[in-house]
Amino acid sequence: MIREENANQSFPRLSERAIQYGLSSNLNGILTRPPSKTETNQPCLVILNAGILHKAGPNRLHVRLARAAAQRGFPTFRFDFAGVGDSPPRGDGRPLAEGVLVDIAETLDLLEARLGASRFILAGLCSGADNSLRAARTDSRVVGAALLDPTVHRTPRWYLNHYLPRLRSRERVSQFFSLENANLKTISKTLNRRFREGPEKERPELFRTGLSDKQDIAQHIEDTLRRGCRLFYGFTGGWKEYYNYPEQLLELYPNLSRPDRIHVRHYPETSHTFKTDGDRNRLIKDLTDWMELIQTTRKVNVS
Amino acid sequence: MNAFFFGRADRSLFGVYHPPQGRTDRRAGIVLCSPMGQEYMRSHRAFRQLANLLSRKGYHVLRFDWFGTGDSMGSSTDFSIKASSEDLDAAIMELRANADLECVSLIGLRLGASIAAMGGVARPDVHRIVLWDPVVSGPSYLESLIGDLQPEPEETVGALGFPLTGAMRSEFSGLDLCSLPAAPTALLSIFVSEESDEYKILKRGWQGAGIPFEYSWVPAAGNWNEVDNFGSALVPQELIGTIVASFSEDAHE
Repeated sequence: MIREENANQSFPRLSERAIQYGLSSNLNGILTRPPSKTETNQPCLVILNAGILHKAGPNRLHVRLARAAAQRGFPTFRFDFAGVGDSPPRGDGRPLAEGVLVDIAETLDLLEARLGASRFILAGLCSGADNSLRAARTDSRVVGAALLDPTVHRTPRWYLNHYLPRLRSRERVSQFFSLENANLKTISKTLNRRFREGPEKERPELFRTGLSDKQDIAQHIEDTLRRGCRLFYGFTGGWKEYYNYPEQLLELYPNLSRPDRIHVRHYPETSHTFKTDGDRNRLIKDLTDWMELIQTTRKVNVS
Repeated sequence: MNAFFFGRADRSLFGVYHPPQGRTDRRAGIVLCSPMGQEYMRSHRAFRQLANLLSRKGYHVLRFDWFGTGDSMGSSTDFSIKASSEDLDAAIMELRANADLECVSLIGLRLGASIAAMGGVARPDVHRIVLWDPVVSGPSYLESLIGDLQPEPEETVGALGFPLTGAMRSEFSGLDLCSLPAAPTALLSIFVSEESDEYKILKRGWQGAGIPFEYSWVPAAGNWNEVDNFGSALVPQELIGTIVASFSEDAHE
């Protein structure tokens, strides 16, 4: 059982408003505005659904993030894609992957019109991360994207980190070389697949909306960085089957033109859904610090 | 459907109103009372479906989040059973005012059912209360959340992803659905997906106290409090269908 830290955190001066909008579908979202005296021309944070979880987010993570970001001066909007949470399914027949991008674009249109916001930061966990990157690649209004446990591929070092500790134990070694060992079968299958298909055909095991191909993801990242957008990557211990050391992302994509625009945080002790208040608080602090850095950097660049 | 905030400014609640669909307007309303914590996350989709089906039957439906839960204002540590009765009152009055209704029915799931029963059982403006897999015994519920952990009274612990304060634990410990706070004026209907010992105890308790109620067991797999990495939802179709059917057959409505 986990003891909570700093659990009693409330934001008494914030205002929240439910908004219905959308041209191609009836979308529902909640706008959290900063206390009026601190409101500035900050980018607007837009939080996307994680899978089928509604806009409150896993363990209310999105509610906490929205209020903390607003407290630091960032207007924040969390909404449900068509067919998720409080938004009814879309009626225009668009495929899911395309519909998600339309929903994001219409959300930014709404916030542009209502708040006068011209710059946005997208944030999402799991499929929400992939969808954030897909939107950030093409929408010039997006100046930053926070990607939490996105689709990611393994590197040779991932395999070393994963299997080496098992080989250090004599008992485990003997288990490892037993005929029934599942690890051997997995490695054998992986090697066979790699020699047969080549590394570019590697696929992550889990289905997620959006991205799966390694080269396609590389192109998304490269295009996003080239147009000046910044990326925050957060990887949790809950994602260790795919990501198990801090440098993995940049080793996976060594040829990116602007790696300085990527900020990677590794949370090896944290679950995929940020189960404890401590996990949530750490993420929220890191993320809002990074958002302020974007704002500062932009100011420096402009001046 | 129409999403909005309602209630006191310092206790703002998030709600979604589903107006009657089609040609039928039964002039009857139903307030849906959510569970809390992980059970709330797991049941959100089921509640939306339940609200949609009831609105298609011609009912005015309001589903809402308790203060400190879901999209409502308040921190997760602010949730309290006692204060939730105020939220229940605000939700009932909101639906009655919006739809111009004399009385409403309540459907509550898990802890939401217990709060609905405690707060609505003797209200003259509540016609019927449906208790769906209700929490009967607070101590048993607490054990399902934190096992045999014995935290210090002031300590806040994590329960399946949500903070559980000492005040919450103290309130939960005192919860006993067998002892209703007043003689019921509302019709009571229990729907359970698994006929566990605690529901047998509840039946015996209410029968012993002369409390009239209906009881339906509609077997459905799944545990409301199950936690997985991907936030999978639990949508027991047959049970939802049975609850909806029980409403459309209700002569009063």
